[in-house]
Order: sequence, then structure tokens, then C-alpha cells
Amino acid sequence: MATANPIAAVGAVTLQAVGLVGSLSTFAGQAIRNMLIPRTYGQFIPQATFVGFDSLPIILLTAFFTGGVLALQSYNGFDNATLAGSQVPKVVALSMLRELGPVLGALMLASRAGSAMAAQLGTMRVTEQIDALYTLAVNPFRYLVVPRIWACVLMLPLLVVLANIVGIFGGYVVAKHVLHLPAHQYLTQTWSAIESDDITIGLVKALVFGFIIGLMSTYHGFNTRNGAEGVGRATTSAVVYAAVTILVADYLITSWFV
Amino acid sequence: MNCITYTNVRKSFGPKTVLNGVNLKVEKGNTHVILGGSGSGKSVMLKCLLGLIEPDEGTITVDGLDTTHMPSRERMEHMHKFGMLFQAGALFDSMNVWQNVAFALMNEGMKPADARDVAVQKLKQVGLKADTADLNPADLSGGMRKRVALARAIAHNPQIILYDEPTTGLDPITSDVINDLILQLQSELKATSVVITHDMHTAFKVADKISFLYQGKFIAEGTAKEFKSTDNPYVKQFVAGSAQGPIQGAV
Repeated sequence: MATANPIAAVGAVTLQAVGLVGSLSTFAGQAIRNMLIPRTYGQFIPQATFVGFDSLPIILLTAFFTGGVLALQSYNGFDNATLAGSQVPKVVALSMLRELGPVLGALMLASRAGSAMAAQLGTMRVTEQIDALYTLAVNPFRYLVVPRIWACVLMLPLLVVLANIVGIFGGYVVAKHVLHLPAHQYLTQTWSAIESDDITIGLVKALVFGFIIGLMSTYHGFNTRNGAEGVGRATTSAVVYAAVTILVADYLITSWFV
Repeated sequence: MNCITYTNVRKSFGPKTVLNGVNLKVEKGNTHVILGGSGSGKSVMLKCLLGLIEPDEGTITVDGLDTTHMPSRERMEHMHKFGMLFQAGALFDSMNVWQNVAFALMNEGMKPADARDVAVQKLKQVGLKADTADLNPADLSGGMRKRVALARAIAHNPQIILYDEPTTGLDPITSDVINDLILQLQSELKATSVVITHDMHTAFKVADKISFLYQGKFIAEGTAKEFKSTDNPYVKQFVAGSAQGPIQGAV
């Protein structure tokens, strides 16, 4: 019906979008309110292990090769080897710290942990396990949602710090063994290029992106409907919405700091 | 004395009216069966009682307390009164059997070793051996899942036990075992029970009173004996399981 009339179709899409923003905002408000209430979360440690420790291999591997590629690409961009020798370490370090560490780390985390969290909560919803929690006098929001969001918020900055170190190391390995740049000079240039603002902006981004991943995955998982198909849709939505929101937030945070 | 009272409860989902002015009184200590076809609104009634769904109109009281629009924190305290057996069990698949059964107890601060002992005792109460305690829900048969779910529902000694289609998906013998368990728990715990089902065998076996829900309203109420000999054409058709009659199948 709606597709037959273009105006009705636009209206339906608009209503859907406004409804989504509304329910997502309510969910986020509820999440923040509950996150600020101090209490012990038995679920936090397993979630932090899953989000943090278990994500280390994929995030560090991504960071290592990103650093390496950055060194290769930026080297080719400079006119002469001397200039390249002094600038490649700066390009690698600043790109990793300010942009690629947090953004790629967040996208990898959304794909690996965010999708899994959405699928897990979605399955719990469609098999009535969330209703069962409620009937056992346990607030499902506090038990399931809050520890997952906290895990993402606290673990992503730690992952990003490690990803930055490994990314810079990846650049160093390529610079030394492939581009044959002087190792000592590379390390000195890297060290002199980094300022505290570069680290701050990266960590602020990681905190915000962690919240976005936690929020999107729990929101879509918690509100899953329609059985197995719904779980699939929730998982996809969690990753897509998280990725898009991360990229928009990245621009906003960058423009704020620059 | 009435334990649960529904007064003129209405609930719609979009244009579809599911509960159309439901009135019901469940007496304390009784087993009240709510009978009705698929999609008649039985599960929505239970969800309204638990606060999982908020009615559009009407009131629901439990032990004289209006719970219709109860705030979240108060509702959580209130939930201790209830034990619920879900249709498919709704066991937590990230936990083993005893952790499922002892979940509410551990959440209230009981030590795991003590909670495990209580869980094993509850498992025995529903006819399961102690060695099932360490199995995972995925390792259980349909009947065992129902028993574990029942053990979990009664672990915190609730005053009100709700059964959502307790025998659906089980073979006739296992169904009757579950019916016997409902009767056994009723006599042991002296709880008020609400059973929603479309299984006539279950209804006749466990009910102190039966209410028949049709198109969002109760159209008949009585004992099992009265239901067997009723002249109400809707109830007669449902009890006989006949396709011919005033109730039109939605197939």
C-alpha cells in the first residue's frame, strides 16, 4: 500500500526513522541512568573478557598491517628519501593515534563482539529467556545491557592503546626491513611527533565508540522480534548502525578537537 | 478469598484487539485453568499479570494490590511472589541445569554451594536425579526441560505459579507426568496456580476451576465436571475438538 503512493512511502520511512531515533534515545537514556548507579555486576568480568581479551588477536593483527601499509603508502608519496625518512614515522604515528587506531579498532570490535552480543541477546529475547529473567525478579536491563555497555566503554580504549603501539611497530618493521630507513631515526621521529593531544583525542574517540558499539548491539539484540529471522536482522543492524554512527561521531569529535 | 483479579482488562496490538474486557477471579490456593484456542489471548493475559505487557484499560490486582501500572522497582520486589513455567522452558543456555534452577537464589545472595544443594533438592522434587544437575540445557529432552524449568519456577517457593502451555510439544505420557507434577506441587506448596492450555486432558486433570477464553473475553466458567456436561456450544465444540461448530478455525 505504502509503496503505491510515493508520499505515503516517504511518510512511512520518516515515521520509522523518527520512531527508531526516539526508542534508541530512550534506551540510551535508560542505559546511562543505570550505568551511573553504583553496584556490582557479576556479568561484567565475563563480558569484559569477551570484549577485551578475546578481541586482542584480531585488533592487533589489523593494527600491525595498517601501520605497515601506512608506512609503505606514505613513503611512496614523498619526493625524496630524506624527506620520507623524517616524515613517514610522523604520518604512521599520528594516523594511528588520531584516526586509524580508534576507528579501525572500533569497527573490528563492532564486527566481532557487537554482532555476537546482538545475536546472543536476540536469541535470549525470542526464546523468552529475557522474560524468564524478569519473572525471576532480575531486571534484564541491568543484568544484560549495562555490563555489556560498560565492557565496551572500558575495554575499547585499552584495546586502542595496544593497537596504536602495535600499529606503530608495524610501521617500524616495514620502514626498517622493506624501506630500509634508519631504525634509530624512525623511533626518534615517532617519539618527537607524538603530543598529548594526539593520545587524548584517540582515547576520547575510543570511549565514545565503545559506548556506541555497546548501545547499538544491546539495543538491537534486546528489541529483537520474529524468531531466527529477527535475530539475523538484529545482528546485521547492530553492526551497520554501529559502523555508520562511529564514522559520523569520528567526524564530529575530530572537528571539535581540530 | 481472591488472589488474582482481572477487571475489565483490554489490550490491543494495532488494530487487533486481543483482550476485550477480561474479568476473572482466581481464588487463593486454587488451580485455575484458562482454556482457549491458539491466538485467543491466553499468553497476553499472563504477560499482563506479570507486567511484561501493560493493559490499555482495566485493572489487575494480586492479593488486593493493584499491580496494573506498578513502577519498575516495586514490580521487581513483587515478582518474588511468582514462579513461571514457560512454554519452551526458557532455560538459560549459558548456564547448566543447577545454575538455572538456583539462579534466583544466587541472585538474592545465597552462596553457590548452598544454592546447588537447594537446586538438587528441587530437581528431585520434580522427579530428576541429582546427576542431571551438571548437564547443559541442550543435553535435555523436551520433558526434562519442562521439569528443570518447573524446578526453577518453584526454587524460591513462590506463592503463585503460572504455567504457560505446560504440556505443549510433549508426548501423551510425558504430558501426564507433567500434569501429575502440577498436582503434586499444588499439594506440597499450597500455591495458587494459573494454567493456560488448550489441552483438555490437562485442563480436566489439574483444574479446580476452568475459564474459557474466546475472542478476548471469558464466555464460560466452571469446574471440570461442569465443562464436561455443558450445553454451551462453544465449549462443547472445543472440548470435543471438532471443526464443526460456532468456533471457526483460523487455518
